[in-house]
Amino acid sequence: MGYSGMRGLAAVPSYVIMQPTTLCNLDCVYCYLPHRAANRRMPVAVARAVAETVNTWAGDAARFSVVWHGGEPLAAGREQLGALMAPFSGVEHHIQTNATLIDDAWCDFFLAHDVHIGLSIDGPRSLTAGRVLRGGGEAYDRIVAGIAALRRRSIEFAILTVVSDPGPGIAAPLYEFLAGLGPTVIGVNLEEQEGVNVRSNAHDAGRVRAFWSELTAAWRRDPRVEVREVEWALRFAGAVLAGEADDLLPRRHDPIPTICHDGRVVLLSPELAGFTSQQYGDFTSGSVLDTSLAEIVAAQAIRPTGWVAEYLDGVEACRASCEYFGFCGGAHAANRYFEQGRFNTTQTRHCRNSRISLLEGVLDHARAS
Amino acid sequence: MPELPEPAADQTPGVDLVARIRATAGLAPLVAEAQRTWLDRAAAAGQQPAEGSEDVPAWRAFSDAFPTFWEFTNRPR
Repeated sequence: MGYSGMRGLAAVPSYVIMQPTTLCNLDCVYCYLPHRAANRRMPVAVARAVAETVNTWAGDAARFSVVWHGGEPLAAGREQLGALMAPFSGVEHHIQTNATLIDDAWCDFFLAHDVHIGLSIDGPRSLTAGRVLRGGGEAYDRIVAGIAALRRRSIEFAILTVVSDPGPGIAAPLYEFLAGLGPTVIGVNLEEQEGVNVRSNAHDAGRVRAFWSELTAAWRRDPRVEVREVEWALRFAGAVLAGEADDLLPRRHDPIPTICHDGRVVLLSPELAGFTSQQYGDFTSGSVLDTSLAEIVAAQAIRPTGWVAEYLDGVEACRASCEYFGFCGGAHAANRYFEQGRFNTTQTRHCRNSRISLLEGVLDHARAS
Repeated sequence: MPELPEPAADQTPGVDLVARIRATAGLAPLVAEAQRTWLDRAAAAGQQPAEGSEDVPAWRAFSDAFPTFWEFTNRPR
């Protein structure tokens, strides 16, 4: 069937991503970030420039989010992060963190700034072994200590978990473990080949489907925690059954501006920040130190140029060729680039692992139940 | 002459996905369970969708859930 959503770029986003520092105190085996060993910090002037636009957008929206991402945002320190947050008003702050630095002082900060927390852990100790300290030791104990601090203070958190080798026998114990940590939501990212992570994400489709099917079964037995992927697939399947599948996707792509530490703006895929290419340059659409964020986003929405225009062509190619378009809205920009070297391609390995096999795995579970 | 049963939808991935979904045995009760779960969650949280809101009732708003929702469908409406 034909889907009408995801045509072009919206001129106003619903959230922005801020990079307070490039530094991360971990050195995870699958990390895509190119400058995570360097401490390049965002000056307050960049945050002020972003806030000039964002505060207006937030005033016109029911909700608007500012997402602090890194590097590891907490590596910037409370004083610096607080100074960067100060210019914003009427927004919801989010932090995506590795949780290893969270203690009572950070909990005080989260409560004072009403911060929404997303943290990363990949399961029990054996599955989290890929998350390592700069000295090479396991980060697991520090992550668990950070989670314990949040729970002591009754601070809600979401979990992002990375699965590197999806297959049967993993999902059920993984869900049981993660649900036991007490998150509000679990998001499951199958490892992607992108950025400086060149590990292959080529997997046997049958094994990946079995993973998603098992996760669906585990969630169904005990749906106390939201599982982002499974529930999105069920939301799409329910819309298909109700004849409303075309109502699900946003009408336009959210431009999702990522503001790099130095003020440069990367649209659509934060994973492209910090990279350069002979063909595409540095993937940026401007700098908030030269041009307002509103103008930068609007210019690409009205007349897309460079890789953004090529990406939008790729989305149309997805729409024309892929049965799963209504479920995913088109392959992500970073996956196209890092897997295939350009943006006007269609199906990626990430599509197959995390969209197609996901939906098929959910359907497999339904048939078997 | 007896009626022939309708041929089962081709279950090959990528082939007429909508028809395959509609023909998937066991899916309707699974979706119904999920919808009950979403309603229960919303009731537990005291949530009501705003009048005129495009949000699916009981579907957690992006802003409540994940700062990294770009990883999935950009942003659901």
